[in-house]
Amino acid sequence: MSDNSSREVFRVEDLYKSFGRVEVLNGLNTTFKEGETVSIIGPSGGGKSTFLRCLNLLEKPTSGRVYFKNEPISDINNGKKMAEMRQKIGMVFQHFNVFPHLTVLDNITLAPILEKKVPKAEAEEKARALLVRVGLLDKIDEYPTRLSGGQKQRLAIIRALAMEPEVMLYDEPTSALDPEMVKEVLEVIQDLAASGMTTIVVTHEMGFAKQVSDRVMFIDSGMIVEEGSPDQFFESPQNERTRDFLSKVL
Amino acid sequence: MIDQIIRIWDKYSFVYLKGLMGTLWLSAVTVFFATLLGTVLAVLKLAKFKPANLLVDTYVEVIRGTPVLLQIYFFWIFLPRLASIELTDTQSIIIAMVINASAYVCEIIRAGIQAVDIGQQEAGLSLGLTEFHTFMRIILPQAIKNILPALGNEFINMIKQTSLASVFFINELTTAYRTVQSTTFLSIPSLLISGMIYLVVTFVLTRGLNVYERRMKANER
Repeated sequence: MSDNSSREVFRVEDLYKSFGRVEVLNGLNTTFKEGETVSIIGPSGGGKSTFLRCLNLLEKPTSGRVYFKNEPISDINNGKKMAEMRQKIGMVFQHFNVFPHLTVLDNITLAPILEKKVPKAEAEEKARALLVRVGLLDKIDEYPTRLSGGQKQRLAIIRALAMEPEVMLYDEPTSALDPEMVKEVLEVIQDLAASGMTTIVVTHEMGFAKQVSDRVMFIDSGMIVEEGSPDQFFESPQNERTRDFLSKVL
Repeated sequence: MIDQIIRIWDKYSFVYLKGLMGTLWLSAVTVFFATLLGTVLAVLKLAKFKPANLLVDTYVEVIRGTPVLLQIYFFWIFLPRLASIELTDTQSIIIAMVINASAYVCEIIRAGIQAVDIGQQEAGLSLGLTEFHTFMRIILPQAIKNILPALGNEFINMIKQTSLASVFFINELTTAYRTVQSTTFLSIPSLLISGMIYLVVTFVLTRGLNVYERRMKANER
């Protein structure tokens, strides 16, 4: 095994996914490297989210393989193993999906205490540090109904971080936010990426994709149409469809 | 009319109170077993096992699609013949009412669980919770908030439904009315007394439910 492949976080081979007769993913091949920040862009319904959800097995691929750190994960059937694998892969959703019946603190500490058997005091200590990091310490005992959208999303991010994942997946993390709250969430994602966290983000924020990513990936009709460094991708896109898409969104 | 009611109450209050006890006892037994059976049915309905799903679907469809009085007659005639054991009228009616109510309880529980946003389950799973923990710690606590108010209403329905036991002259409030009516021939006052007792019981329960619901909602703020 080469040095290079040991630093891969994900390797995706010939990934296909269909829902009934609808073919959403049509043979994707790519790798994500440790510490890399990748933005996935493309038109709605093109398969971006489904692709991301295949990486942590929220969707089971119809065929093809997903490797996480060189371990094939796409055919795991055992629930316990699947859970253990997902603990290493943090995910943040468009609609936050914070737990409304738990306080901010319990939102963060639930999974570490339950699944990683972290002692309560230690988990709470860590939660506090994470809350400080995103400026939400004063909300620690509130229920999420009291939080704004931006605050909920920041909570969702640190809830995932509390499991100490090796990679973070973001599925349109700012699409459901009021415009004035987009920045506070993107800043948190950017900080994390800068600190070395491997980051894969499906986004419509072209500015973010341009400034923060190491690589931009354009997915349409279930295929990676084009990918490259942000400069190359935004300044001189090679593919007709990429040019067409960029002309509409920029 | 009012003095008739007072006179009937003076003389026959023990009949009504005994009837009330009968109603409460019948309701408690029905509520308890119907909730138990309904929960089991809901679990079977939500299990990833097609034959079980189909079975529950059919059960719910048949029970909810036929009148409860018909079901009571059916079980009253059918059960003693099917099982060679002797069943009292009370037993066969309790069985009929439990089976009837369990179909409604099953639907309430199923709907309450399925009403929880799918994103909650995905968030739990993506954090690395097992499916069991995701259900017990994320889905169920939220589902209970959907289920309890509806279940409370169903309990009140069950209490009112026990009046059907009067068809077989089983001791309960509506039977109490029939007893008093046949001795006094004062139909309306004796009926009004039964009605008022039902009303007091359901009123108290409804208030209790409302207080409970409000307290549950307050928890979220």
